[in-house]
Amino acid sequence: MSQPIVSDTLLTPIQHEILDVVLDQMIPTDSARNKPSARDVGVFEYIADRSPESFQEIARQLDDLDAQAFMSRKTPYTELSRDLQDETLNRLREEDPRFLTDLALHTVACYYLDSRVMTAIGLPSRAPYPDGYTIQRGDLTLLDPVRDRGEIWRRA
Amino acid sequence: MPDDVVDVLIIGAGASGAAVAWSLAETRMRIVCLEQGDWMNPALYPSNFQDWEVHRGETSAISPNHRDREADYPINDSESPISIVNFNAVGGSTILYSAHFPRFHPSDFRVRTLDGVADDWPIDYFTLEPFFAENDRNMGVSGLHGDPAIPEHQPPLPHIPLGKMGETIGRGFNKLGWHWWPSDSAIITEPYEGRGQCLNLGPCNTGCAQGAKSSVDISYWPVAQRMGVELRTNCRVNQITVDANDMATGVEYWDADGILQHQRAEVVIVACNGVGTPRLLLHSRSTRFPDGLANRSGLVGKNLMLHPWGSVSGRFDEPLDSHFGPQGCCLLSQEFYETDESRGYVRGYNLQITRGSPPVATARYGVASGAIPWGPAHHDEFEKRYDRSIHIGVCAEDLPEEHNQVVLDDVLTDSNGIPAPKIVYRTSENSMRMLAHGTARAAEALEAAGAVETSVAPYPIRMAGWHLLGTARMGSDPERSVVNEWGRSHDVRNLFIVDGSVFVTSGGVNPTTTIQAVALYIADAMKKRLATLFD
Repeated sequence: MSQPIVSDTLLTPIQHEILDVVLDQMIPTDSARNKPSARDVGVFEYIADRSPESFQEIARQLDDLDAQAFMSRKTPYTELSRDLQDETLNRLREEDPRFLTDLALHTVACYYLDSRVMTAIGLPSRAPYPDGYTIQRGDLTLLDPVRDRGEIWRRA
Repeated sequence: MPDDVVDVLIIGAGASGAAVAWSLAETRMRIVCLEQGDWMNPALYPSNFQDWEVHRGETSAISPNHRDREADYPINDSESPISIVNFNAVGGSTILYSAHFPRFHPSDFRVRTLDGVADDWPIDYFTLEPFFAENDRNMGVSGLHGDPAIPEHQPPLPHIPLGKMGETIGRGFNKLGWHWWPSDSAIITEPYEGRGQCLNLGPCNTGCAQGAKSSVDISYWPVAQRMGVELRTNCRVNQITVDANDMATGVEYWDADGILQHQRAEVVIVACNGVGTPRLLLHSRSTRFPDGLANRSGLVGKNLMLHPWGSVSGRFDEPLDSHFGPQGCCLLSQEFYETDESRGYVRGYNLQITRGSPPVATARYGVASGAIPWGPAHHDEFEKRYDRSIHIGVCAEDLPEEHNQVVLDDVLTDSNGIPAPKIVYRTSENSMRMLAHGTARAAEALEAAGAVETSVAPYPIRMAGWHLLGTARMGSDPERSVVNEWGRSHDVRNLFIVDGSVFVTSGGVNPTTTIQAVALYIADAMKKRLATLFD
């Protein structure tokens, strides 16, 4: 029996466990690039802070994953092998292309704001202001052919 | 005191209201401006925060319907393929504009004579030329002298940096033999008038934390206030009042405490742009003006022009530093600006080359479109896209058509109970053919520059109704226009309109510098006629 949802709980413990698995399926660790898994960047807290109403749909979809695992494998989703978890998740996504899309969009937003991820992709982990960025002024000799062509505006 | 009679009352503190206030201030007349919004606090702009990409969709949302700040009014755009986007504050939509600042061309003022469509303006480019230059100095405009696509002019500050991205797309245009040029930008590239130079923060269109983008709250308004103009914020005008002689007597407005006031004035100037201005005039009904103030021509609200917009993205196979630098300002191409009827349409468009997408936008778009998958392949596909994109906007000239209009909504109102504007608009065949041509040429330019993949967004882009023009047009014939050739209402001799609603045609470029040049020209015309202003 699943645990009852109480008014101050956005996800049940089981849904939390499924969420962690799904986040790792979405964006797993990439050691070569020093990029963490999406399960380790605080996605739950991010959504709870900015869009708690999203959990109503996310919770239902996490339950759907568990139900699908029980139906096809007689096993909780979190206890399936990664291959079977992927198979289960992909089946539901094929049936409904919008399945967990809202979670995915929140996840990538949270993920690419994480300081470790920003550093991994070569971006300083800070606000743009006040330090800003430097870009080259550019080679204005590239405009020579445009200048050589002469005026092109229409006399009126 | 609100019951006093002021000499000039300006409604709206955006691009045109600020310019006209500054220009008239030297007369030492008593000038008051009423603005429904408040001053913005640059310390709260998204680029102050590491999570600015998420903030931008909240505090800096471009649609008033989504943003829903106290100063906003709702807009019913259910009968338009293009939604209206704007901002309501001191500075108006310059708070969020990208500051891409090209001028109209001489041909834009003579479309009937040259191409047999729409109408000629009663003024021309060269009448406005000194006011373009004055506005460049007052705003702080950067650019590169010598653009062969526009009459010679000298922007006061050096051009915006091209970056690797600008050089890359410039080479593409060169391969095709097409025009391109660093765009005039209302962004200061050197310290100017007490403001710090651009730091290449990126998200100019969320408000500039550095104050380098020339929004009018930090360019015109501080000077105008020092010269004595009084700016009252959080004051929403309900209607303009008139007497039995068809003269404006002032305005009725809700003050910052929500109390209905009447401010008397000798002259009323409307500066609420192409949606706000007709909304106010249509709501200002009276016995003398049962169809709305200054509307005996029946043209108030009609001929709305929006610049239908196309967007093309190119993906490259090397990093381009493409999301650093002023987001909306890099280059432009005006190769297809002037009419060539062999293309299947009349008039033309501007190509606005903008910077690439930052990381969250790259990932969200990639995941939503399926280009960036879930799973281990996510990282490879993200890397192929991040920092490797260039975008090109296609700004199509929109010709005036009377059926495209702003009317008052029967049901929807703002928080003061004033009817909301409703947009009734359809994109013309000419515009659609122009966008088909423009998006194809944009893709061609990106491919010539080395793009390995291009993507054309469905057009017209819905959330792109920034440019609000034509709904109180200028002209010498009172039957065919709302204001005369110097902005005075044909019907109400002490009522002036100085914003984009007086435009006769839309040109094919972002209109802010031309709106401000027109406002300065009208202010100058008023100053020259002070003794006979109402004759």
